[in-house]
Amino acid sequence: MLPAWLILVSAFGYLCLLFAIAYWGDKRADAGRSVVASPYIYALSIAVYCTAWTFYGSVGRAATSGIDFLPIYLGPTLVAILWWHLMRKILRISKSNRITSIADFIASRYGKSQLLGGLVTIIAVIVITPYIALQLKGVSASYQVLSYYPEIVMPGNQRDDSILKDTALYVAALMAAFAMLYGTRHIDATERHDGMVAAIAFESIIKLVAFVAVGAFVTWAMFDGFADIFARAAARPDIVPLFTSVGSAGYGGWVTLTLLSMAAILFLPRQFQVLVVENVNERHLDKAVWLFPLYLLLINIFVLPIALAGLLSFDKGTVDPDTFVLTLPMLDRDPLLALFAFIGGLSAATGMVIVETIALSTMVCNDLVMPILLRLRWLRLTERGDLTRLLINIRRASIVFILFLGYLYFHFIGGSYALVTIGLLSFAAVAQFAPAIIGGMYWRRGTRSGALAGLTLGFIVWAYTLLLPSFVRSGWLPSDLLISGPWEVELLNPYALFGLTGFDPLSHALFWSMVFNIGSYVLISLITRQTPTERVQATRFVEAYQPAGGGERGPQWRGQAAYRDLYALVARFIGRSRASRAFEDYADSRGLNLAKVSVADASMLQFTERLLAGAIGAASARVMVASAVQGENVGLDEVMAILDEASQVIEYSRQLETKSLELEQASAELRAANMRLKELDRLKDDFMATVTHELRTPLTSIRSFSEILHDNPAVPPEQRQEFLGIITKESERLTRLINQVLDLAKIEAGQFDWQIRPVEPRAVIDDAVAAVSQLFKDKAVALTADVPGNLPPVTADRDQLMQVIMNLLSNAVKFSPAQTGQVTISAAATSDGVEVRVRDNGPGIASEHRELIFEKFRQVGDTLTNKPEGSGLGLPISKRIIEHFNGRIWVESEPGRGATFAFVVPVAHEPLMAAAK
Amino acid sequence: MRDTRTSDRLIALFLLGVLAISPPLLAVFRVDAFVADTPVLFFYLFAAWAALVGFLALIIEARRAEMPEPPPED
Repeated sequence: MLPAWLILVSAFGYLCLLFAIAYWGDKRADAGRSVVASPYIYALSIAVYCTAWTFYGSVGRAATSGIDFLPIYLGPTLVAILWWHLMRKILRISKSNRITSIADFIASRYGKSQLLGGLVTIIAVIVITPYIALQLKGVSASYQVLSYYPEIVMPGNQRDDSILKDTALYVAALMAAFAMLYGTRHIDATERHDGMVAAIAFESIIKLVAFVAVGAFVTWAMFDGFADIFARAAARPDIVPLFTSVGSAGYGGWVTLTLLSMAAILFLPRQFQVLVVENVNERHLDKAVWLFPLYLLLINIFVLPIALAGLLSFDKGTVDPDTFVLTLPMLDRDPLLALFAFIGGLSAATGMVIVETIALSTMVCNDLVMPILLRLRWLRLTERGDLTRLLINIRRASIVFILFLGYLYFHFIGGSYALVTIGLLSFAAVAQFAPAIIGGMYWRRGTRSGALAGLTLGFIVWAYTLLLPSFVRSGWLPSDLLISGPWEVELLNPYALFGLTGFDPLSHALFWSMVFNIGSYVLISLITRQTPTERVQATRFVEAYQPAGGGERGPQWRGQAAYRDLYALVARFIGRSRASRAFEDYADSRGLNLAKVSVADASMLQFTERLLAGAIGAASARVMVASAVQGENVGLDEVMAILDEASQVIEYSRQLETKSLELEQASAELRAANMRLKELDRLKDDFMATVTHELRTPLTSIRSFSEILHDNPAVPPEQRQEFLGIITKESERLTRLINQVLDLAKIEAGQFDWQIRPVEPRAVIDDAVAAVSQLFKDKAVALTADVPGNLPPVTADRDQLMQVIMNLLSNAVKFSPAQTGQVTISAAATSDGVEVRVRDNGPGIASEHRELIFEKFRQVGDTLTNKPEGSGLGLPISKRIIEHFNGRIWVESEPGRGATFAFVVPVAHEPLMAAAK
Repeated sequence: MRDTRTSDRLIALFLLGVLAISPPLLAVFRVDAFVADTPVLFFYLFAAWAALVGFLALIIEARRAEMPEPPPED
């Protein structure tokens, strides 16, 4: 006997054990001694692939169509061989991008597109929820079969309508509780669910052991080994065809099933959850690569023997082959084995339901609900600091929603064709993710629009060619739809779209959906452009994989850069003060001492990139940082693509640079002009001060001698004469000075009344020499004139030219020593004009003074003690006069060897005679 | 380099696996006969499958044996 309470208590006890294992797993994880950090646990958790559909359905399939249950497991075996390439890359990408679901993966690859994430989530929920319902149905049906022990009654014949007696409801409720407890403990979804994984691994062991136990029992207890089963089956003509059958769909169906299962093992949400999200260590994959196919091999060995044994043991049509695993032990009156088989099926179903629900709830929360909530401005979510509680609640609500939906499916359309076939249908739907994912990982050019178009079209074709017919077959739609097509258009027949016949429905659907999916993905990708974010993400995905292997969380930036360079780079774009502040904040948050940082690590590079991205855009930021990094390989393609866009930016910046250069020049000129103005202002002040001083000296002496004469009438006549002489001389000096100042002012103001005409130089020189000869005699300085008679006439103002020569001569005599002084005036015609030189043998002029002496009031020498005679205006005036004649004046001298003042004046072009008229 | 060799071997094994379960080879073994008291197609598929898993384990474990074990992760 097998009382109902015993079955229920066993089932309930088993589920309690799951809770206990999960609790223990989480406790161990909290204590830092994770039980799931093992390649064996990892491989076992991947076996969540084997659901109740495997546990019961494989035998059913084998009993009806032979060996064609195998492609569902051969496909994953083939993919496992490629995991070493493919899954390592997915793991690398997911860990560095903090990816938590298949929807997240696709959204992230295509520029973090919320639209894509939402679309993938909706597709997943639509196709996976019925799959969950199928598991509930498996549990419910197996319970009903077992509850009639030892009688063998098929579930369809004894339906109990009361929902409250429905085991599926309780199972669903318990699963929801489990998923809420152990699937949403942390809000950081990249954190793994250790307890859940431990429970799933345990379930994988149970279902394998249960299935193998039933198989071994059937093979060796009920029959006499494999040979016996096969020999007896070979004697039955109705069974023999199974030995050579590859299924009703033929080779096409075989290939299709293989391809679908290859996609399913990678992209079913629950597989992605255990393979990627729950992965503790990339190295665990190595062992799982062969352990998981081994698991599949073991769980399938007894499928055909059990199927054959069932066919041999039961009358044809009395027992559903899907229940052979359960009914064969029952037939042999082995209640405990039957109970164990039931628990095995339960474990297969619950494992799938738990992981799938958690995976879907993450997707619904992160890629569907949160993006919408964040867009609703009136919720003011973005202003709330802590959203973790909200996230947990959304996930828990999603879990309840998904499981409730699954239960409703099961309850209302549980027996329909649509539900029974949903397993393969969902495989075909999940395969629609493959182009966007595989393409996104290896083809840089794939764009968001391409992925959107591919997914949408692929899903629509899938729904049209598989889902719609399944509705027809369930009797919900008129059946002539599958015969003559909608609106009598045969080309639109869902089973023979565009007239394609000769394939089984699944192959037909896979072909057309892939044609539309891959076709539009590639085509739209080729004609649309990627945004910079998409481009960066594409690069991160395509280049994530390094065959050499390396760090667990492959950093985005490899190679090194000097902190100095990074700082300079950032400072260039956001300014020094902001750059310093940003790096200091960064260093503070990491406990770094910037003064000691010389080489920037990967995270600092990433920080720099983010900092720059705010200023110049992400794509350019990447290129800029790459320029500072040594050893970073940015693919040539990517650089070319970015350059495309960057060249425009560069053009702008070049224009800016030109502008700023012009501005810089203008401001330099302004600065120079300002300096000149200031200098002139100072010179003016100096000039005023000097002039007043120079005027005061003669005035003082005139006044004091006048006062003496005025106050002392008794001054002797000779002395009076002498004083009057001094007064006259000083007055002359004063007059001369004032004249000179006036002349200078007039010349500088351009108001001087020039009498420019051809002048005979020799005559001027002779006159000047005659005028100053008295000075030479007074000081006993010898004056030699060496002036040839044939000098050409020059263009000048005669009086002013004479003034210049007199100035030079009086200067020469002034600085020549008395008695031994030697002054020579010479003139000669040169290529520039007539050159006049006045040479003395005085103290000479130091080189640093040779320019200064031509400036106003710059007298060389210590002006306090050894003030030379003269106003100090002679040379400046001479300079201005000569320059007015377009000539040039200069001095040649060496200290101690005398000085030579020389000037050159251009030759007159009109003849002297003509001018003289 | 060891990883390149492993990678090449795995790709070769994958191609071999594709060949092994391809329809033309299945057609060769779809005969109504027995090998070791087992139907030929059934025997062939499981033998091929077991061989694939065995080779897979050999390739991966050979690589692991030759690679020094990395320090334990924290």
